[in-house]
Amino acid sequence: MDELFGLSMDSLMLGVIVALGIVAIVMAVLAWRSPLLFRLGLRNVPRRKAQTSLIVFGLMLSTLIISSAFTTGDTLASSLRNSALRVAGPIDHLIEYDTNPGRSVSQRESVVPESVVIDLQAAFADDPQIVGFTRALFDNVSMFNRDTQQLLPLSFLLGLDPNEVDTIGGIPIPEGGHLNLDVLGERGLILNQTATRELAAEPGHIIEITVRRARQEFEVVAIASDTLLSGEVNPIEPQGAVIRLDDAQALFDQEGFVTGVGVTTIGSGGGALKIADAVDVKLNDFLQARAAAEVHAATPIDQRIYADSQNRAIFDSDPFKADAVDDAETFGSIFASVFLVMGLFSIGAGVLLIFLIFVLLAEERKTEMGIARAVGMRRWHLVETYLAEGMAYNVGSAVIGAVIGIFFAFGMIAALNTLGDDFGFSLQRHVEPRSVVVSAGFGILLVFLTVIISAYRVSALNIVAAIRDIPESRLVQPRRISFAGVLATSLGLLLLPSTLLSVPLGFALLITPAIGTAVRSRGWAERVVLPAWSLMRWRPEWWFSFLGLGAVLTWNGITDASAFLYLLGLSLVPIGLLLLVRRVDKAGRSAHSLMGLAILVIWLAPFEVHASVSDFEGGPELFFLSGAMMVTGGTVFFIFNLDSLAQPLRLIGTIFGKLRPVVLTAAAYPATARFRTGMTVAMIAIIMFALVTFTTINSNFSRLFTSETAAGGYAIQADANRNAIFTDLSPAVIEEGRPDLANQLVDVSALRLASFFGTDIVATETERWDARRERRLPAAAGAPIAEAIEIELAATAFDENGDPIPGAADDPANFAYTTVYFTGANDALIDTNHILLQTRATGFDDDESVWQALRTPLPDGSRYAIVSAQAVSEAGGPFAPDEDTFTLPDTIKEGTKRMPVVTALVRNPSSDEVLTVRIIGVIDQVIGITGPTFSIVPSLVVADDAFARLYDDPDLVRHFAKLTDGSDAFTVAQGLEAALRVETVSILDELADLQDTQRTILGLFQGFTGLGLLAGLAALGVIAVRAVVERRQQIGMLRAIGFSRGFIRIGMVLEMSFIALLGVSMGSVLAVVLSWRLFREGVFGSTSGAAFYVPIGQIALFVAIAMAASVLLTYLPARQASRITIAEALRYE
Amino acid sequence: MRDVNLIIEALGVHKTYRADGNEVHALRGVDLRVDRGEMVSIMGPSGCGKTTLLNCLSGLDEVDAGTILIEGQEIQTMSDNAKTDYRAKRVGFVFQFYNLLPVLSAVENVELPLLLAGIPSGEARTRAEAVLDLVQLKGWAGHRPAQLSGGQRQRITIARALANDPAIVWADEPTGDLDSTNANEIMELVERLNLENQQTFVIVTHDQAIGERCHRTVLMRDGTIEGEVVHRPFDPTDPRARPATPVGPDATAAGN
Repeated sequence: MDELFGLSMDSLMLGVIVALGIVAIVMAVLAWRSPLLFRLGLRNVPRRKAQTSLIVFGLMLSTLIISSAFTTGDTLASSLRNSALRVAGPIDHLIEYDTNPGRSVSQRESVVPESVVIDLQAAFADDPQIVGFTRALFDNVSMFNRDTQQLLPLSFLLGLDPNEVDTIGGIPIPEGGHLNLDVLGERGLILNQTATRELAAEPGHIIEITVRRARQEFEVVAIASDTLLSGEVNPIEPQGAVIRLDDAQALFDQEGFVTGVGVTTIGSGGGALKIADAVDVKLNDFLQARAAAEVHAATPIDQRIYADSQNRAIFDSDPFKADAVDDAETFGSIFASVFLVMGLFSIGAGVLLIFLIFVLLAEERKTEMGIARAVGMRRWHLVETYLAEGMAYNVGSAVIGAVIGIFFAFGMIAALNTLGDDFGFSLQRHVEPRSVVVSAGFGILLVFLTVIISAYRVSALNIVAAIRDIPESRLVQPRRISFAGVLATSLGLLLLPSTLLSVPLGFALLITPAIGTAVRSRGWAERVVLPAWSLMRWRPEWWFSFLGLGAVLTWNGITDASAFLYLLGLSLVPIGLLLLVRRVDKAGRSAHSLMGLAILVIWLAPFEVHASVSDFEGGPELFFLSGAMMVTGGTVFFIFNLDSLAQPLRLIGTIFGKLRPVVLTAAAYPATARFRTGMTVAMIAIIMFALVTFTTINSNFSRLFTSETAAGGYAIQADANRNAIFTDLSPAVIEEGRPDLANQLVDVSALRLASFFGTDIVATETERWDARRERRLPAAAGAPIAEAIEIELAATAFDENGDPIPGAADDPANFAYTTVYFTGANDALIDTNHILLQTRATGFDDDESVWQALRTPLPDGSRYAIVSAQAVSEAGGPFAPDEDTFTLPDTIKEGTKRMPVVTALVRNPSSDEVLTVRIIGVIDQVIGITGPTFSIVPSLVVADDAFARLYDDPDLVRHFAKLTDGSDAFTVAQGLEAALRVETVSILDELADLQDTQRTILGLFQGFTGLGLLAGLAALGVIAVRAVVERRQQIGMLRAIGFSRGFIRIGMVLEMSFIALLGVSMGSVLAVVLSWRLFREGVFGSTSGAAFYVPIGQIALFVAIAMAASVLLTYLPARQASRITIAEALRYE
Repeated sequence: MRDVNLIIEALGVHKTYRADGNEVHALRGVDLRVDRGEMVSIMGPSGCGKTTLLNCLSGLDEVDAGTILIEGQEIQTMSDNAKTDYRAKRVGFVFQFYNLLPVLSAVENVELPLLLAGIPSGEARTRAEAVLDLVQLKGWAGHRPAQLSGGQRQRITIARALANDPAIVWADEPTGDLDSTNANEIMELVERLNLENQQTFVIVTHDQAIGERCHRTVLMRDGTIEGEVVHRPFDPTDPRARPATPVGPDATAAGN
């Protein structure tokens, strides 16, 4: 993995090392300047071993998460890279027909004339970097082993030239070494390993290949390893075979053409990658120069080889191997980034845990801290001691965390490997030392910062209160607002950016003895170097900071249409108001409850409320923010209303009368330690929130995408490419001797796909539309009801000065097209489908009327069309369509029910035929049958006769069928596949298989997010251990007045379980409510009116695990508490 | 034949603390007898073993040797659960530092032993309020200990000790953390309760004035009893010294 969030890992490592160096220098200077304070801090480390273990555990959590994310990314990148290098073998570059939008032709037409290869061989014969060119012609075929009766309905058949393959070293074989294609005699065939296994084949077996609607026989002569040269074009379905190129050209009726030209360069693996860019430039320069020469020579269009009618180069070269390796790195980085984003919740919980630990440590040492301050220690000295102690824990825990993270990732990798063929490659564990350094370094820095902040916070104590061990709040009285403070805070806020720069500088100056002494003696360090810091410290009015920041962020969010800034700003306002109340009065339950409720209302309000303010946009970062804010609001609300919430706990006492005194105390303790209870509740709640939201949303989608709705009403899907032996499904089945199967098929329909490479399309006009009310705008007198969409022109429509060539804007050939899968639905499909639409144009009352309209030609010759949900501009999330794919105007969103009629021009560049379509519906996003699986390119559906105006020979015909009652879809699909030799699936089974894969990945994410739960549970352990120490005397008294040991144990476990239950319930409820809201409002797309589903089983499992773990974790401290010697405990003061 | 008036009897009690290889002989063969309804103080210099003796007698600590009979039962042979149960039903404790639960209100602190004894919630609350009234703190029932003065807290402690109508109240420096006025008030309360309820009080104290308000003072030094001073004679046959309600294992039931 070379990058993370767009930053190179090398730079990150350098940054981390520099930052660690600064931290090390800071610590060294502190140790040198104040060795006593340093020793004082370190002395605490071995004092309580159990506590030290918990602290180390808490501190290592963040490092563990970062480390496991990196290791997963490294492993994926490395495994994909190895897989890419293995598959590519000696092929480093590929020269193919360039099927960019504007020149989207069918598969059959996207070929390279052999004369191009001859030109290339001649031009680069003496090139020192190029070893050879390998012509290849390939297509999808079905293969059937006559000897074993095994069928492969979809497989790659590759035609190669033996001499060219010999030049680049042959094809690798499983036994090691390479295979020369001379073994291929006439009608000889080499199978790759996967095809051999699937067909149970061995040399000598006869393989029937279905090509161009006919069956041809070949004899297996050898077995090759799975590589590109043996037909592994798709790693997920790597089965393939090789025949002689001339055989293939004859079979596919493509004499004189190849599908692509492989280019082999010098050096293997790394060497070839280093020169990939240079070779790529060289090859493309050659192809473009040839095209330019043809244009320059005014070669007639029909005689051109290299240039198209728009004077563009037809062929281009791609650094195939280098791109695959880059993709591997990118995929690894994306995976690590996704894991890190998912881990943010856990990292957040880890930071809260560290904070809690240090606050509890401070509470434990309150008296000695008070005495230390009383005898002359400064506040900063206390921070130094905590820093020394914190860093002692930190370094050890970071190393342990990094190592455990690696092993945790290995566990996840093992789980991913169970998916096996779903990924097309197996993961080999791999850890980059760089990643270990960065993750451990990040962990150390994160803890360092948290320790500084928490130490600074806890060092602020009232000396008298600390020495007497009485509550601090009793000594702090509300005071009046200082307007000077408001002014200083405002200026401080304005200067905040400079603070971010000056604080590290000022800090460095202050701790550097020579300069620091000079600076301090003159007294300008804090006032000049740290201007904003000084202002913020001078009578700070934090309420004003929150209100000010909140207002600024809200305003920025509205003007920038950023939901993140707007909601963050809005959420800060109630916090600011609460701080204001606290400043002027003693804020009690109502003030805190109102603040908590206000935040919850902001986040749970219907989306329309916010949408009425601005047209907000947001990304996945909102998920984290929503969790953090709602949990904050919820925690404050619940913590200040614990007495009411403890009622259910008291029920236990009512039911089990004997336990009443135990329940009485267990319910009372959490309410009196609000800070620690709140922190623990928040930690558990935020992780449960992430887990449950994630699970609930995914469960709902999983149900939708595997429902009968997703299958569009059909049971069977059979994909027939140009090589298939049939055109109509039912007659073909009867012809193949399976009338029994034909009798089980009902409503047999077909959808024809023009080209696997897509078809050119450009939107030209749209109805004038009120997006908010979802209705047509009334046309002003004389104004058209539709407005034209400005069409961009292709680069070739401009002259050398960048001015449009006269007349270019009127010629459809010059438009800047995007891509769509152009499909034609036959009458049966139009009549029998149950493909739901998520959006319909005005005037069409139901889905049926939209489908039926496809048949009707419009007076101007245009036709109605329906587009799939990928065309909605915001669809797809992180995999959103790029600018080359067709999108509808952005007034049509995922939740939109009514749409304007959008007019578009569809073009077949081979024939220059165009068809004007009027898009009147959007297929529901759950329907996955109208295009290739996982495609980001939308499908455009027109009636069959409209389709025929542009294409007569589709690349694929997708046949659909329903089944008679009692038929088993899987069995019928298998029967059809065997009879027709085309890939046939039971749609629902296929969708379920896809969901199974996603479920496994989801499980990993759940496990990864669940790691954060450990922070919450560790917090329970920490506060339980602390409670034993703190309440020693009280426990002694309870024992003295008649609490049995069992009661003490039960009491503590009940108390901690109550806190855990509070966090678990709050997180789960907030998550379900948020998921429900998002689901109902269609934020994640149309849900076809499906009922919201709460995955109670899974949520109950999380709750049970969390509760069981909390009981286990608190049992030991509870047991310790119950064993306290009464007499000794009572002596405690 | 056992003296029916005898409620506490300690014979040859030894207790040694061991820590870090050092041994401290806290009690070296202590013999003590206390009659039912008697108010006895234990005095002596710091470290003489007063609190240890009280802890051992009350069953809060184990003894190394010797016999302790409370209400005729040998306490060191009782299981931990039996001792706990006995403490919950038959004895009350008053500590120097009050040892109230800070998270519970005054009335909740007082009702805690009642709930432990299995009294239903409603009745426990009524009785707790009645005892609070007895110590003149009814108006402070809903307050938490942190909201009360030292004297008030000690009254709550006494109320909690008395809530179960115990046979014996063990008090360890009950006025140690109070000023003289509050200390005097607390002792007046203890005397009144002793007189009205005929409960046995064993009070460990440093304060001679407190000791003198008891029937007798047992003097300790270096883990042994070196003598006793009788301040006013206790006559168990005096009707005023007899318990107003029957005492013994069935007291709670009888009280109900």
